[in-house]
Amino acid sequence: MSDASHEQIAQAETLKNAKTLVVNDLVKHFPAGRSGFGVKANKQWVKAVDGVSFDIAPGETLGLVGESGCGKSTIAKLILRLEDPTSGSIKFEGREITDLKGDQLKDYRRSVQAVFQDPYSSLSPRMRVHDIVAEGLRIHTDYSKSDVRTRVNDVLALAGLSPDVGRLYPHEFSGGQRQRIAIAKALVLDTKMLILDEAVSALDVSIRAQIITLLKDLQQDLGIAYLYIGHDLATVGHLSDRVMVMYLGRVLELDDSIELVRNPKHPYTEALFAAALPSNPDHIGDTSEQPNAEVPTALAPPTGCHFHPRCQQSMEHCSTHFPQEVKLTGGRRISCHLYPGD
Amino acid sequence: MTREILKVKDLATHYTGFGGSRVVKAVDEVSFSLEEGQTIGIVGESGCGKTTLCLSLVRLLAPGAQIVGGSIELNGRDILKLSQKEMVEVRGKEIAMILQDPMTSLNPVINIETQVGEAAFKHRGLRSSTLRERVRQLLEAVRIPSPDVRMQEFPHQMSGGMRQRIAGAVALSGEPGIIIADEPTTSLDVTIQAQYLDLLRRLQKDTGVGLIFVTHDLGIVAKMCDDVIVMYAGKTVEKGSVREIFNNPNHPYTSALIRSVPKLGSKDPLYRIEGQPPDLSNLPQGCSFASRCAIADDHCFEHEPPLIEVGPRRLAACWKIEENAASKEQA
Repeated sequence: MSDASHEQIAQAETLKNAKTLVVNDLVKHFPAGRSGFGVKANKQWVKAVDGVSFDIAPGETLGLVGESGCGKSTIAKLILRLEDPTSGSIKFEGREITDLKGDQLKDYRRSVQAVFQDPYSSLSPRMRVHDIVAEGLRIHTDYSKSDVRTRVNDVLALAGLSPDVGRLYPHEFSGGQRQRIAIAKALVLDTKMLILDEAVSALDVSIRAQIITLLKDLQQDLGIAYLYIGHDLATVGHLSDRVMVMYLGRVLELDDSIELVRNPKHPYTEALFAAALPSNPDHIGDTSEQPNAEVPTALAPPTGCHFHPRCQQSMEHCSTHFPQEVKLTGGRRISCHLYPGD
Repeated sequence: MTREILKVKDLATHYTGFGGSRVVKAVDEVSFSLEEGQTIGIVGESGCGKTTLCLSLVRLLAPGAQIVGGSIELNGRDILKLSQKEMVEVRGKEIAMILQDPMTSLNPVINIETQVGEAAFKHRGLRSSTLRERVRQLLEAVRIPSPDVRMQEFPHQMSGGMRQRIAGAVALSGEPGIIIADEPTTSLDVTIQAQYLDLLRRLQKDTGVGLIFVTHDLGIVAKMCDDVIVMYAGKTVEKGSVREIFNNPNHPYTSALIRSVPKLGSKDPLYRIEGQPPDLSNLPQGCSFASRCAIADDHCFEHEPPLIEVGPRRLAACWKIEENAASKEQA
């Protein structure tokens, strides 16, 4: 074999191992100081995302769970570059995207798309389905009219819709079909990563199963990376390869989804899964050990480990020191004083 | 035997539009009964008529909707014969409702004390310090921290979970025998949802209130309910105890619904019910689920199956049950 082909193989290997997205020590603080009428109050900061690192491989789904206000949606916005991070890095296919501008940013947006929770408000009511789906092509390509039509019909078919729906307006569709339109719109360019922010939460049970299956099939065929954000643990677990648990801007635990559900180690993960609804009346879990307080405000998070006031197993130094993240055997990442590093 | 507090018989609620040329049969001959301290779940997808059924029970239907048949006996009295003026005496006192959205169901310009105390003031005749004491008890019962301070505050000062609990306190205020909860936890986080459901359970144990849970979430049904009614296109398709329904569903829609929900810690492919629920103003002939049913045959498309008894306290509407049962027996 020649050297050139060896090189090609090596290149292919690195490409295969290459992560689609690598996020490192990402931080986003929002100002929350009260100011007005020329009076500046002391500036306060909401630490929405506070040192978060993770990666997603091509064709992989990372699930992101946590209660309201834990920073899930802020992470989505940072990756989509709808917000600029305070510090940290986001690398997409090896390229730093936090400082992209102009044409380069436009180029980046071809490959990262999002599908949102509410298909009733995320589609323009005054555009026909064809135009909604074709919008990305109009902005990013110089396809001819017939090329656009072919591509739009192709992605509509991918999303399980027939080409004749292109003439119709969103109000003529049910929730499940609208979500299919949103998915078609997200796939129309050469999408490499999809951010699914509660993408199936608003749908009815039978329709939800249809969309979940569609998303899984599409991922298998197209090798797209998914970041799935959700609060329904069963759905997140079902869709994801790995699940990341967040609390007040920080990652508490991350592991393979089945492993994490079967054997949660962090007391917060445990409480979260214990609170999940049973799938059968014979399996009603014991929910008596619930953290009873609500999530503290992100404006003034508790000192030390943010979870300690609600934690059943909290110890003395939990309130003073934030636990360092450690990697357990098997690859689980956890940050809790119950699992100190070596 | 416990006392039967609500008996709904052949209730039918229709929406009429376009001068009566279009009739939507949102609730079509639904019957059930509720005993003291019992929890009944009404499950179904959007547009199956479950919310219309609830609103019929408290007679708060939108204009255009009309109860066209059947009876609702509340504590032995048919409330369909009462005038709206008499209904005011019933609502909050005998039957109360917790609405879906805690953000919009509380009045933003009235403080918590007045809102929670309203039914106790009106129906139980409590005044001044006794009334305040009652409000304090109610807020404590729904675990609102420092109730004396909180009762002077307004809904916007509360978190979503607290607002939902206050909506619960409002419903409890007139000491009703029945509380209808229409998707009470859809907007809450899982931990807050678990707390709220446990709270409702405990309150039920303490007060013996009958609960009607209206939801599309089978998990809530599995956790909370004694009996379940599965609705499809305005009709009851299956009815029975929660264990029976989950472990041995008779109707293909029920079993498909259960198999289409992701289970925690499992990645088995989900069962998909193809197609959409039918248009209620233009129902197909025959069984309304036939076009989405895996085992339907010509007979199903032509004739509507009656709701028949298939076991003790167990009803289902499907032509295939006998066949299923026969094949089970043979096997």
